[in-house]
Amino acid sequence: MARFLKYQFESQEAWETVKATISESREMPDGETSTAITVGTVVELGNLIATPAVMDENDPMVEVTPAVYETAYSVDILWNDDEEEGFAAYRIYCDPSTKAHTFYGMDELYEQEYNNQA
Amino acid sequence: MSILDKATLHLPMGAAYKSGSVWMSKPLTDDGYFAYTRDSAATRITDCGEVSNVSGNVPRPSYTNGIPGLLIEDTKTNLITNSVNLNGSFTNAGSTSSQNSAPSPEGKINAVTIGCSDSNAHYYTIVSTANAGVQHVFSCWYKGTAGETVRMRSLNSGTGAVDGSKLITFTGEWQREYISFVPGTNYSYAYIVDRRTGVGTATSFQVYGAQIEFGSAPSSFIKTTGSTATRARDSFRITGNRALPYIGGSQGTIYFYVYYKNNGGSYQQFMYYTDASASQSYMFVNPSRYIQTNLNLGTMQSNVQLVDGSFNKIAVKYMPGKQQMYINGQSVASATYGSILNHANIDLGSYAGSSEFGGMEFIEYAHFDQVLSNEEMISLTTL
Repeated sequence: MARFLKYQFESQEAWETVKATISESREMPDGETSTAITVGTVVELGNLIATPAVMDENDPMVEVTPAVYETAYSVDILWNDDEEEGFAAYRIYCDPSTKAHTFYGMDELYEQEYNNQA
Repeated sequence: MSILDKATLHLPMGAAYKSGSVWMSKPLTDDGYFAYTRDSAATRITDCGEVSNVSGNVPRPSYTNGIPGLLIEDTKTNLITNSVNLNGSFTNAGSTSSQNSAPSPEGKINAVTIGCSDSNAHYYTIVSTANAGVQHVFSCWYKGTAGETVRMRSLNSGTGAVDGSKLITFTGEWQREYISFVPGTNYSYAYIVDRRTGVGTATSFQVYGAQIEFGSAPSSFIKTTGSTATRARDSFRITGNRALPYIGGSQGTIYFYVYYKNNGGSYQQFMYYTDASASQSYMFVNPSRYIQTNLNLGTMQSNVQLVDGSFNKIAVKYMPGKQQMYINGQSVASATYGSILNHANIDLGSYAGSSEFGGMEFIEYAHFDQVLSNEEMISLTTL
């Protein structure tokens, strides 16, 4: 059964290390390497906005205060089946009503995870 | 007798489907199907031209100019929240917006009416700086009085950006329009309308379904509410050597009827055959819109380019020492490669359902276990 889980890593580099455990690579005809993940759908949200920018009321092209971004690197994964080993330690459970991202039509799947979190 | 009666596999236009599979008209056996997966919901265009929701793992015959083609798309994220009625995601400046005020392409009263009689009116959203340098595409449905115009636009206040702009002429019907742009390190703005440019005659029109995603061409619409949302990729395959009785052997002909949209990818794969050892024969569209085959299909390249947003009939016939490609009734490439794989598995629209997605809607596909004559190839591929 599919699972919709959210993760945070201390940095993009930390994520790349874990990502490598579920990535498959192959060499392309032009010599480049193509990487694919087949165990689910991965969306790298990156450093999410913690505090939105404040723009000038009279001129929205002018930024009064820049946005503040989280230092953690966020990733959403819609697993085809169960979660792969090595990911549980990075799980987070944010409030379903305030989450930054979802998979289209799969909100209930995340709400189940949120309500059943260990 | 139709040429297609000779096919060993035939996926016809308007093929039957259910969750997880699409059935062929040949062979009429229990294994005469493609396995289909998509992890999330999605949308398609119905035969009535309406935007319609489709549940996860359900195939999507989507209509373009009244012709149904199976959508095979890569994973994409709509970065605009409340993307249907734009409530709170776009800002008025000298303009007015009235949510849920008119019928939309969904058939519901959830379109937005924009008023922009002020010569400085603009209606915009701010694009995050988090993805500076990445190509984005901004799309939206418009409906206005036929002949009137609006300027759709992106604009960046800083350096390093590539802005997009398009003067849209209304047809009187719903029309989906898009521009591509590359944000810089300062904020970018995406405008559904910007009259400050001094052009645009419309002072009132309707919009629906805004989308900003990575890439150069818009994918199918992704509905969002309070958060951004991702549509998972489509996978359309015959694996486990199940196709060997139909596509195996050292000669054959492969035929496609597709609607092509250039997504700018280096390898816009639309046909992937593998043998039991995972060796590959494949065809793809390159960034210059020529069709190429790999070594095992003769390393051919068509001498004509596909037109972005066009219907095409494509066929390749092959045997040891001779391969030939036809597009739309014309011979466009040939080769003399000696060794042909004993094909056993099929992927349409991508590599292994996971990468290198092509910009195709699959209207019809067939495989023949024989080499068709030149006359048959011309007849088969003539639009």
